[in-house]
Parts: sequence; structure tokens; C-alpha cells
Amino acid sequence: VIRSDHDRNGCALHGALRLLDSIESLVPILHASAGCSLGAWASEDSLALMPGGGGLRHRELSATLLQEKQVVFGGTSRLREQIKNTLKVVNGDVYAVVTGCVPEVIGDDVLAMVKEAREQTFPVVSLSAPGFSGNAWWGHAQAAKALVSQLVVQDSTQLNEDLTANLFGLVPGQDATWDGDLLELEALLALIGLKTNRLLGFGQTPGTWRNASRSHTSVVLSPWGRPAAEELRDRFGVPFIDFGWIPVGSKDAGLLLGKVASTLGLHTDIAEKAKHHLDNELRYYLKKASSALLSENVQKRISIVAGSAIAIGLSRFLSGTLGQLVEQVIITDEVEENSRVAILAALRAGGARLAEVTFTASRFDITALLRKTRSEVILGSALEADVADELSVPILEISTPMLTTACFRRSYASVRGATALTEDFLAVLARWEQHHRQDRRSNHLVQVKGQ
Amino acid sequence: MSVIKDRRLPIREKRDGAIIAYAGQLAALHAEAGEGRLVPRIRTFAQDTRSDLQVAAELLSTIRDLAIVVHGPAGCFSSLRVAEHAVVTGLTERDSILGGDKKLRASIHQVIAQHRPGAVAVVCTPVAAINNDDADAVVAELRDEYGLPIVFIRTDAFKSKLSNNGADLVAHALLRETSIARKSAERQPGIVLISTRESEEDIDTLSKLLATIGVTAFTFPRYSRADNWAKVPTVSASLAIDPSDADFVGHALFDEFEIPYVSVGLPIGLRGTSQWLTGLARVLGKTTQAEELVASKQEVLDTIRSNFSRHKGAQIYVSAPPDIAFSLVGLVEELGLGVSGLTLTYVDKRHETALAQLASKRGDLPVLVGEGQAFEEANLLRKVGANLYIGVDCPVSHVLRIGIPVLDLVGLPFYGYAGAERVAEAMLRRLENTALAQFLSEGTESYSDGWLAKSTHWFIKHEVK
Repeated sequence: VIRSDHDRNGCALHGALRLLDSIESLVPILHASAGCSLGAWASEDSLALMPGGGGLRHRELSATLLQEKQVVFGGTSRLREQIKNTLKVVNGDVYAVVTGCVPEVIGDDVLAMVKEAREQTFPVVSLSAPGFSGNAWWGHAQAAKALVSQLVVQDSTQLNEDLTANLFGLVPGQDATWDGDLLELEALLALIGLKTNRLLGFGQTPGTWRNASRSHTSVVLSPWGRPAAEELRDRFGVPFIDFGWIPVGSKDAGLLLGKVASTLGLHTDIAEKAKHHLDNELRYYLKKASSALLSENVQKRISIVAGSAIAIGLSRFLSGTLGQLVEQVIITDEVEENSRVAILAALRAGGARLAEVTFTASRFDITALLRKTRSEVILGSALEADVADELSVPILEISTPMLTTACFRRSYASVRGATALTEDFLAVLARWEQHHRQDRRSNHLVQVKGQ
Repeated sequence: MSVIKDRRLPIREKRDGAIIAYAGQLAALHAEAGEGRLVPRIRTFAQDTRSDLQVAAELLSTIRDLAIVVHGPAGCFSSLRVAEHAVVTGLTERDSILGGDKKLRASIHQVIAQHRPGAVAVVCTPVAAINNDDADAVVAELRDEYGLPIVFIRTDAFKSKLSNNGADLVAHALLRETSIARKSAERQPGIVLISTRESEEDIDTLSKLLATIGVTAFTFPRYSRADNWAKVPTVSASLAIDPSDADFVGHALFDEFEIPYVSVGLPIGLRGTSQWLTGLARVLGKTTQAEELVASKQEVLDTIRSNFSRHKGAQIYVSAPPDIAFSLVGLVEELGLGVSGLTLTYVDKRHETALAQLASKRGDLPVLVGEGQAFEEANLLRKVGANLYIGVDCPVSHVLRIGIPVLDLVGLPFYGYAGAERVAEAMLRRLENTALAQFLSEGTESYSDGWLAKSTHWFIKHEVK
């Protein structure tokens, strides 16, 4: 299969690097040829993405920068040198050697180098992430599994005193709102008295990962979280709840609380009370938007183009709560066949009953699908901007790569996220309407002057 | 003989004796260059930086009617994600063993069918280079089949340590195409402006500046069009913007087509732009027009200098490709400010004169040579200090962590008079309010105290062949 225009999903190395970059005090050591890491940050680097716009930004990333000599004679001694010196230069609790395509092709014995470092009591782990082995979603999933296997320790199997849940499945660099969404989900689970191991983002360290085995459960938010959760279950007996998507709005937030409460054997009143609170909270804020939503004809035919976790969440909220007409959902994270049934079921059950659902990452195919459907609004990435322009419809950037949206801790999860989404959605429509009003006015003036 | 005739272009390290690692005083670096023995050194600790592949892809993406095929795994495509006419062959592990010729062939067919380009460039990646795929044969065969220029850019990310080798490889491949496309030996009016890294706005500024002295120009290879390549061998002269990159193209055009090559410094800063314009006008016989324009700019410079009077003595650290860096030092000095240190992405034998000029004034100036090696700058900046850091498309968070404000010129047009005024304004704003850098400097440092206390050249060693 030619993947020639599958241009939104990066490679396994990018997924692994973004995962490591999201854990404080964990220092990646890239064993690859020069430049391999730069694409990992391209999904949100608008300057990098503009053709002729200055290239990719550098990051301060320890790297072996393999040269021809190492390609011919092997790069293990260069890696040994880089590991040793990284420990001297960069502060960290754990160092993770990540291998790209070149060492895999030339057959470097990376494990021997890592073993050697460990024997000298250096805290070094290793992740194999050659770009040709899969996309960034897959790379994230494999790297998270490898971290569970290498970081989580057997002697920490005593459960936390407080009920605790690990969160798996949001993918830095691919899920645009991963950081903010994890924080919202932490706040959501706190409503039923749970503490959260977000594992990624601000304040999350190798120590957080080591303690993952002390949690009472893991919550899996996409197919890409399952390998790590399974590893944790198989090795340390931590059960997991395969929720499967990012809950957007009070209904799905309540659904998640219900599942977690039931799995942990909490009293049903606790979850019900929280659900009631969430519904009331969302209703309070949507009342503020009701005049715009109800009286200004803001009920649109919508296409969503995104990875499965956020595509399902957005679709279910827009359709099932906001009353929008989601007519097309294009799932772009190249999920395996066996995950597709559950994704379709979640979409159908959530209100998008009539939506056409397609699984593809090809920009060419996606453009053709959007041209065919001609929705009134597109929720997608910068890669859909051209076709939106061509169809003369507004676009809201909700997935990567992003070109016009700064996304640091923005979230679309839970009630706060759904409120933010509604604000963004209405703002995009309002700007679009204003833009067209100005266009119509200037066209009118041209005509009047012409007379 | 012209390099255009050669199928393969030697890397810059071999052509020009380029080096990518040095830390020390300017005088010592100049002494090495002056004796013609710039010493090749390596780093035993390094940080990731761009490769020739990314530079080549970015440059190619500016050519409007060119389709790009990246021959490698999907991730190598990331720098081109939103380029309209680009695809990737998407090599998998299996292809890395069995070869990716079939995928390359299919991708070229696909990109031509989808985009109807004027030409196609195939950019090679490390995996394809190690595979030793016979991409040449595929390219030659499809070139005949379509009657279209299809060029193979021999990037690999590991032969040269200089990312700008990618620009040379693109220029070399396209120069060969201009030679093929050449229809007549007759000279046409107008000149070719050799550009490999400048922004569209900078090109626009320089084109307008040239128009003021009655010169019309078009760019090559950046922002060129495949259907315009035949014009390149017919121009009356070629003109450098940044000689570091343009020299190779200018000399090749002279060797192959006897097109005079004009290189008169860089149009950076008000004085630099005036010298560029008057130098150019002298060569092209248009002195009077240039003199009037230059004279009118003295007042502008006086006004800008007076704006900086309250920052007199402020020290600036400059980090940029060599010729741009030397010119930025000139701009900083004309504003009445000082330079506390310098990072040059590389240095080669052609920079001997510029190093000599600067060393005659500031032999003690601390200099780093290297691209993207933030850890060394973090070490040096703590020792030499700075009120402002000016860089060109480089890492910056290590500078902000020390509390030094940053001006990255990647998004700011900086050529010509207009560019000089913009840079001066941006510098002034950063010097006026340093709150962001101050706030960020109160956080934690990621480099160890041990490293920050060491000599900056600690990890730079002589290369053992």
C-alpha cells in the first residue's frame, strides 16, 4: 500500500519522542541520524509547517547524530559516548535511549550499550522506535508499553491509600488537546473521590510511572493506550477500563464516572450525584449560548476529521447534546481493524446515527470525501484548510497539524472542554459570517459604484 | 571544469574545508583559517539539529510548479506536511530490506497524475540511501516516459555534517537542469538573484531595491519555476544575497556559461545595504542613482541610533550562519551596541577575510562554531552574558532560561533598508521590556551545574580519522 499522502501521522520515532518529552526529568537520548527528531514537533509548529517558512525548529535533544563512519562501521561506540556524556550534561532522573531507522537498519546492539550503562548503576532505559515501523500513534503506544515494562517496579505493588486511576491513550503531538484534556479528566475523576496518575504533562515524572502499579485501575481513552494498560494488568494486576474516547460534555463525562465507579465498587449515589452536577453545570453555560444556538440558525451540517479519541468525543457531544448535524466523521489515526467496530458503535450510540464514517489518513482521499459531502462546517486540521477554502466553508482546527491555533492547555474534555468547544465553534461561525458580510458589502459598493 | 558536469557534488567539508565544531577566541579561529588549516573537530556530546534532508525539502517547497517525492519512511515527510505538491513513498521495515524502487515509481506516477507539475524532485532519506535503491534508474526511466524534468536530490543526513549541504545538492541538481533546458547562448537583460534561504518578503524588498537602480532580477533556485530554468543560463549576471550559499551557484554559472558573478557583501543593516547597493551599482554602471538613495538613508540611521541612546553599551550575542552573522555584527555596531559573543553555524576557508576583519578589532571575542548546540551556548552565555540574543532559526529556550531576551529572525524580514529598520525596532522592543525572559529565568535549569562550570570546548575533540 502506498502511503504517499498520509502526511498527518508522522512516524513511530515522533510518537516515542513526544511521549518522553511529556515526562519531566526523563531525558531522551536519540540514537539516529541528524534531524530525525525535528518532525516530532512539526504538528504544532506553525512556522515549520508553512512552505518556505523557515524549516523545523531545533530542540535541545541529546543525539548521536550518526555520520557515514558509524553507518558503515556501526554506531554503538558513539552511543556509549553519548550516554556517558548526557549523564554529565543534562539533569534527569531517568535517561531513555530511543533508536531511529538508521541504527535499526545497520544492526547496532543498542541493548548491550544500555545494559552496560545499567551495570554502572546509571538509570537508563531503551525504546526501539524506527520510523519505518509505524506512525506516531503506534510509536506512542509501543513506547508507553516499553516504559511500563522498564520503569514500573515490582516492589511498588502495594495499592495507594487513596483510590487512584492511571490515564492511558492520549497521544502528545497527535491529539492536539492532550495536555489540557488530561487535566480536565483529573478534575472530573476527583468528583467521585479519585486521584489520578495522568502520567504525562506538568508535574508527571518517572516516579509517577513507577507508581502506576499502585493505582486501583487504569482508564484507556483510545486504542493507543491499550498496550500499556495491558502490560500493567498482565505484569502487576492493575485492571483497566477501556473507555475508548475523550469524553466531551456532561453526558460522556457522566458515563465515564459511572463506569469507573462501578468498576471500583463505589456507591451508585456518588456517580449519580456527580453526573447531576455535571449536567447542571453544562446547562448553566449553554444557556448563555442559547440565543446564538437557537435564534441565529446555528445548526450546521458538520464534517469531523481527527484521530479516533477526539473524533468520537466531539461527534457525540455536537450531535447528542448540541443538536448539530454531524454528517461525516473521518477517523485519521489508522487504527487497526479490530478497533473499528467499537469506534463505529460509539459513534452510532452517541447520536451521530446517520453520519458517514470513514477510516483513512490520506489527504487526497479526505479532500475528495469533503468535496463530496460539502458540509457547512469542517472540524479538522490545517491539512483541510485548502478544501474548506475551496468549498467556502468555515474550519475549526481541532486536530493536528495545526497552523492557526496555539494549543498549550486548551481542552475539549468534560464540561469545561465542551464549553470551550462551543465558544470556539460559535466564534468561528461569527467570524465567518462577519467576513462574508464585509465581502457582500464591498461587492454591493462595487456594484453601486459601477452603476 | 564546472561542477555542473559532475553527476555527484562533493560535500562542503571536502570542497571548502568547512568545519562544524570550535569553541574559543576569534583570534585563534582566524589564525587557523589564515594558515589554511581549519581543524576538523567533532563533539563527543551533541544535540539534534537539522540535516541536509530538511534544508533541501524546505528549499524545494518554495518552487511553485515542482512536485516533491520524499523517498523514505513517512516521518521524513514531516517538514512538508502542508506543502501542496508533495508525497512520501512511506518505506516500511520490509522495504528497508527488500528495497523501495516500486514505491518510488508508484509515487512519482501518483504525484504527476495528481498535480500535473512542471518538474519533479525526488529527495533521498537515510533509509533509502543505506538501502542503495537504484533510484537513478527509476528517475531516468520516468523522465523519458513523461518528458519531464525529474531530478534526484542525493540527501542522506549522514555524509555531511552541514545541513546547508542540502541547499547545495538542490542547487547542483537544478543547475544541471538549467544546462539541459538551455535553448540559446544569447544573453538577455536582467540578472539572477541567487537565493537559498531568504524569505519571500526579503526577496521582495531586495527586488524593489534593485529596481531603484534600474536592475530587474528573478531568483534561483529559491522561488524559481521549472518553466523558468531555461532562462538562467542566458542572464547578464548573477548576484549573491548570502555569499556563503550563493558562491557555489555563482561560480558554477560562471564556469559553465561564463555568466559574471557579482558578490558585494550582504544587504544587512543600513550601512551594509548601502555598501551592497553602491558596490552593485559600480559594477553595473549605475552609481548616481545608488548614491542618491544611500545619501537619503543617513538621516534614518541617525534617528534609529538616537532611539538606542538609552541602551548604550548593551551587549548583543549573535547566532547565525557565518556571513549573516558577520553582517549582523555590523548592524549591532552601527546601532552603537556591543557584541558579547558569536555562534557561527559553520566556517570554511572562504570566511578568512571576514574573520580577519573582525579579529583585527575583537580578537578576544568568544566564538562557537556549530548548529543547534544549545548546551554550549548555555555554558558560554553564562560566562559572557548578553542583554539580547539575536539568532536565525535556532533553539532559544536555553537563552530565555538565563534571562536573556531573544530576537529570532526566522519570522522577521531582515534584508535591505526596510529589514534593518524592522530589526532595529524589534531589538529596541526586546531591550525595553525583558519581563518574559526574566520570568522564565526563575525556573529550573536542565543542564547540570557540572557542565555549566566546565570550559565551553569540553566536548569538542580533534577528529581521529
